[in-house]
Amino acid sequence: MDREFIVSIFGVGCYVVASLLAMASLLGYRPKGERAAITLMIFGAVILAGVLVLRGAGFTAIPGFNRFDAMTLYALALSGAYGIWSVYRYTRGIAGILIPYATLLLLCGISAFKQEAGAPAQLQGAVMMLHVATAYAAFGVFTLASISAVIYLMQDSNLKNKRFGVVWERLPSLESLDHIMSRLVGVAFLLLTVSIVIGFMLVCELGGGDEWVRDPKVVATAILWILLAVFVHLRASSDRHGRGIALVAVFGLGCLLFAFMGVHLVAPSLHAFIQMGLGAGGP
Amino acid sequence: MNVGVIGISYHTAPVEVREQASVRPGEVPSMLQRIRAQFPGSELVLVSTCNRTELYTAGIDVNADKHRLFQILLKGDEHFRADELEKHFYVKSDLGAVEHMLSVASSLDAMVVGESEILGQVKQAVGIADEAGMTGKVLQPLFQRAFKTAKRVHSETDICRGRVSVSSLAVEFAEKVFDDLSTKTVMIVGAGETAELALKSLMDRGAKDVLVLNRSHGRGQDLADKLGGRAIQFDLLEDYLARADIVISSTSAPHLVIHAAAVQRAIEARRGKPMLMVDIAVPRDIDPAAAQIKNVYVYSIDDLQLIAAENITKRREAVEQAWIIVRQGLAEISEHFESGGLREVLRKFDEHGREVCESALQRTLAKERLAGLPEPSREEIRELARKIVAKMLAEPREALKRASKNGELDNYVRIVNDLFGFDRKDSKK
Repeated sequence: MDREFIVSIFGVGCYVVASLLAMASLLGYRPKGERAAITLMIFGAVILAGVLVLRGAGFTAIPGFNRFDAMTLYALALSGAYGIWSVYRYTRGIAGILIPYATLLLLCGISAFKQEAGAPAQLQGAVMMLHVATAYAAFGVFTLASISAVIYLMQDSNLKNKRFGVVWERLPSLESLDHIMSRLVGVAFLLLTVSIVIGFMLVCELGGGDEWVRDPKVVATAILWILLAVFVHLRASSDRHGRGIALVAVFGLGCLLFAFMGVHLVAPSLHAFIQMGLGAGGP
Repeated sequence: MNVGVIGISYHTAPVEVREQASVRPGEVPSMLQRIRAQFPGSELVLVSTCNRTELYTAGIDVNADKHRLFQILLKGDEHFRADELEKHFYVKSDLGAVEHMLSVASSLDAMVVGESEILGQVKQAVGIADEAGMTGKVLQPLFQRAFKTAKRVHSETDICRGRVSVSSLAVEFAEKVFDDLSTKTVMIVGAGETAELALKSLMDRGAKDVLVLNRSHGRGQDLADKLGGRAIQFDLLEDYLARADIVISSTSAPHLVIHAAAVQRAIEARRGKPMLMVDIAVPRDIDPAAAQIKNVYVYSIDDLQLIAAENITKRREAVEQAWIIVRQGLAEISEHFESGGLREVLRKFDEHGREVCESALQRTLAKERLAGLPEPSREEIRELARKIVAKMLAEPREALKRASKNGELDNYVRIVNDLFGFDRKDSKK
């Protein structure tokens, strides 16, 4: 366990250095540092993914139910989504905000490394694994879209207020960011839909009833799903673009964070086996 | 090194003098041939742009022959007296000429510091001279090193950062709003020269679909034909506004031409797709209230000029750092040429010592009274003579090496050539 912890620290350390490099690149101190930052982030992600696999084997359960696992899976999903997007269409400037965000998630989780937590034994299995995997993938992909929306709003503000500094120069065009948002929100919506459907299948398997429909985590996730549906409609049917749609995506990130973590602070949940160590649902 | 530069630029001469010395690219080879005919064996590169005409030479004493070169560059124009020419032209030789070459290639001497166009123009001039067989073992490596230094200056300093002309700034804004200009529609309102330049810059970056609106439809049609766009009747401006991703307006109208309400309607029809509007007209064509509309980005001529001024200031701040790189380049070139010069003079030294020694030995050993001398004794005499010569030349050799390190080699070489008559021997050969 200790060895795994040291390796985890090393993985998080890679993210910290990558964050510094990416921010230095964004602020113009190391203009060519962004690609090195992305490489370092991927290296850290591989290390942390290995740690999660070993932990799953050690606990003989699906990892993802304590704060360390949850934050790490979320950060890895985000890093993975960004890595795949960069291969498809590298967009300069995003790493300067995305990697520090992922690092913050990892730092929030590291103190809960030794906490043991898992789903009820009757839920352990391939269906649960698929539910967890699609949920985190949806969160990762949607967070990338939301970060693009945040950058869109920054760039919009720079252009409107005629602030033409280094950050303006380093960030991508509005059209690139709009493209990322529209593509990725659709993917996130699809993944979240699959995750919710699998979740319902699991509830049916447990013989659960209405209490699941009223569960705060389920309600918060449903709100997020509706928001994504609205976004997809605005783009696919109404062909909406610009600042308004970016604001919807940023609001969506707030909903995601509430569904992911905030809900544990406000009400007891049937998802209490997820021990975020934050409040009502945690230890 | 024997390198020189003679030229005029915007620093030293008004446009009416510069245009006398200006040489079109097609005329450069014949001009170089004319100069070569007067200075056989020389190496030449002629750089001629709207801001400068400079002749780089190797193998010509530019200080001694400057008046002949002035006359050639001014194509024998009798209008200028010798003393007048003196004030317009500058003449630099050896390291001064090389430093000038590096500063020009690095765009430190450009009218707008950091405008990298000059590097391309110098490369083109060297290419023309190469093709005409005018460059050789001195100017070729010199210019290659100048290009290397210019590349370092451009990549390691902020001297080229930020655009400084209205047309290039329009492109920069367009690239921050749109990803792919080839799929965008550019609308030009008014067929002014600056708008045309901005449009050309956008087309260079891929913009294809161009709408031209001008009060005089005929003039608009001319511009549209010239740039491959479509001329639209001026009164259809509002109907076409929603189609335009980029609007560049430059009419001479004394009132607003594009009202905020029309822009609002256009952006609603575009469903929030961003719109870039560049207003280079004075008085303004685009209603300033349009800047408040979401997803519309409006820039006036004042905004563009302010940014250009800020970028120029940033470039000036980088000048000092750029000069450090230029001086490093100059030191490398100096070292390169001096080490080459040192090798040459040491070779001549050895050759001279060997010749003196061998001729003295031949004369001595041919004497009758030494005819019976056994071969081992003869060899000892030869060895002794070689040692004496080597010993005598050892100290001057060391002095030359020291002079090379101290940057005084040129003076020493001149003295050595004079003392030992190397130049006279070379000319006999």
